Amino acid sequence: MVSQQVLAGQPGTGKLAEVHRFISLVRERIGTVVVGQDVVVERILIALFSGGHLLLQGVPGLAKTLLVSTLSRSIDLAFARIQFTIDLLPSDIIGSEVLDQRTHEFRVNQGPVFTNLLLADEINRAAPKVQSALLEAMQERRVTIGRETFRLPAPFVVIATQNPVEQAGTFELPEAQLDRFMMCHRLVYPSPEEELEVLRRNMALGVRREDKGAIARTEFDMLDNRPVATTEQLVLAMESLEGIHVSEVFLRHVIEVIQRTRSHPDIELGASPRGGINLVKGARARALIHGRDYVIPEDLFALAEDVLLHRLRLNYEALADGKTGAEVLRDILHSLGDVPGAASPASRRSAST
Amino acid sequence: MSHPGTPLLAILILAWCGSPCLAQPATPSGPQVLVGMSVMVEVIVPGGELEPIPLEDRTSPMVLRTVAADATANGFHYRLDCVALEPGAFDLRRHLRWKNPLEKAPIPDRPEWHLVVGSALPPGQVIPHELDPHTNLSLGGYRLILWVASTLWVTGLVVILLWRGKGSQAPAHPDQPETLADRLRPLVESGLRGELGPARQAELERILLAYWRRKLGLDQAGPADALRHLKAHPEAGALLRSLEQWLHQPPHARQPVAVDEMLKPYRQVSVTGLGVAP
Repeated sequence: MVSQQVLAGQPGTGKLAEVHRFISLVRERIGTVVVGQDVVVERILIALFSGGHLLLQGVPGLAKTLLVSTLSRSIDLAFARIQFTIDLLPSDIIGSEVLDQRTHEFRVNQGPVFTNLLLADEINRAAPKVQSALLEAMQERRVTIGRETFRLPAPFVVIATQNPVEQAGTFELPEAQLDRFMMCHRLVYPSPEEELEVLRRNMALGVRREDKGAIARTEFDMLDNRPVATTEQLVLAMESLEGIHVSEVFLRHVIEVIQRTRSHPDIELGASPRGGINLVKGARARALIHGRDYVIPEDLFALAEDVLLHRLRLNYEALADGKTGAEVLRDILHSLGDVPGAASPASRRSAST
Repeated sequence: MSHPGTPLLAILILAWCGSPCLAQPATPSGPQVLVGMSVMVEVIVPGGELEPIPLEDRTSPMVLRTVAADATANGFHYRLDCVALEPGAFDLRRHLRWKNPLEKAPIPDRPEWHLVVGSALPPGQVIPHELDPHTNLSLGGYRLILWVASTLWVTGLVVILLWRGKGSQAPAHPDQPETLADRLRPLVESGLRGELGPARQAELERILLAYWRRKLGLDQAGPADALRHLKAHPEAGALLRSLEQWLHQPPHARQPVAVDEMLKPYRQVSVTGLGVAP
């Protein structure tokens, strides 16, 4: 393994090797249930290691929920899932005060947000005040119920999902709230080979006898409840990020990208400083996952779309021209070698046609 | 008890009222009307039925309309509505004819036929001059104007296009942006001398990445995919790995990098085609 070779001979190799073993075990466990989706698994691990929150965007049926459930059972983490609907209330997430009939006193009933790994399924289906309640908890990592303020457990990571296709009856997350997600990963369909493997595994599931009848097994029945990694190992990985070297040159690259998103003619709202911070955090976590103790431009290019794209808002002219945020960001990354403001390769192509 | 002068006063008032100065102006016969005012004339005429002569133009000073023509024992009882458009004396018979065209006898005279129309204007009214309409100088009509305007518009467009075409062909050396090669050379020279700070090192790395991406035609690929292809390329991959060691590795673990050997091929990069000069 290249990553193992890179790790060899580095200071703190024992610690990094332990982290790498942890990553391998988690990936193996997820691989027994979920086919492919290596990039998504990597993004989830990056979010876990960096303490950031992740938004998964994809059409139904791409195993988003299965993936997060598998991850939560692979690591010894408390896991909760909230299915967001239009009639959900903030108290359904953070909890509420209830009257104890025996003592005639109010006591706090903590909501599902008090967990380590929270899956917020279809977050854009809930009303804005519910989204806001969760996103405040995500940002401050504490919630106030009645007159008491409670700290959320550590680690606390929210993995939210949303369907980009079905928009009827949904409330789109505003840019200010999207900014609180460290990354927004857009899932793609599996390759034909991966999909073939999905079908083969699904055919082998069979049925399960239950009570006096039987029900068809699903992939969720295949989940092994025994964790392969501990929270302590996760904390070790989180601490290891501090040892990942970020060169001054890399920081200059990040600043250059962020600045160009703010001055690009097609962008109305560029990346926030939080975008740059998350880009560096993500790059460190990715370097750790790939067995390096330093970040390289490859980390920036690999994570730029997931970290920055949901923080950008195109202007009216770009939208009228049919441009997408992904195209504009690609244009920015391709034109990094050019003088700022000079025509980018994409601009030159469109100008010549 | 009555005043002794009262009968005398009454006689004087009656005498004043009957004086000729207050009498209506004498008219030959029939009613007297003003211009534009409608007047109803009732007359019984023996013989066949009469009808107004239809107006063929707008010059007739009298507009006559039969309101009713009721048959009597030997003729017809007419009620005619008359509107005179000019002052003067009118004989209404001139505006009537027998309904039966075979009847040739003259229309019997009646006093009602004679109508005197007075003017509503006070005497001495100043009448404006007759209008003297002039015909403007014609440019040949609407079609000619359209043709002239179209020709001018097309001519203007051709002139603008020709002028812009000449402008774009003009050499623009002073404003020409620096090429990738122009920007790369001084950075490489500074790098060889070991004078690059972090900002210029970052710029050098970005330019080298862009240089190889364009050289290998990877502008269409996504940034991450393009970098993966570059790393797989023998020459570009070696360069990028050396750059990572030089610029990104932590100082305590940095392996020595031969910066001179790494950057020397980029000292003489040609402007066109982004090729490395031999």
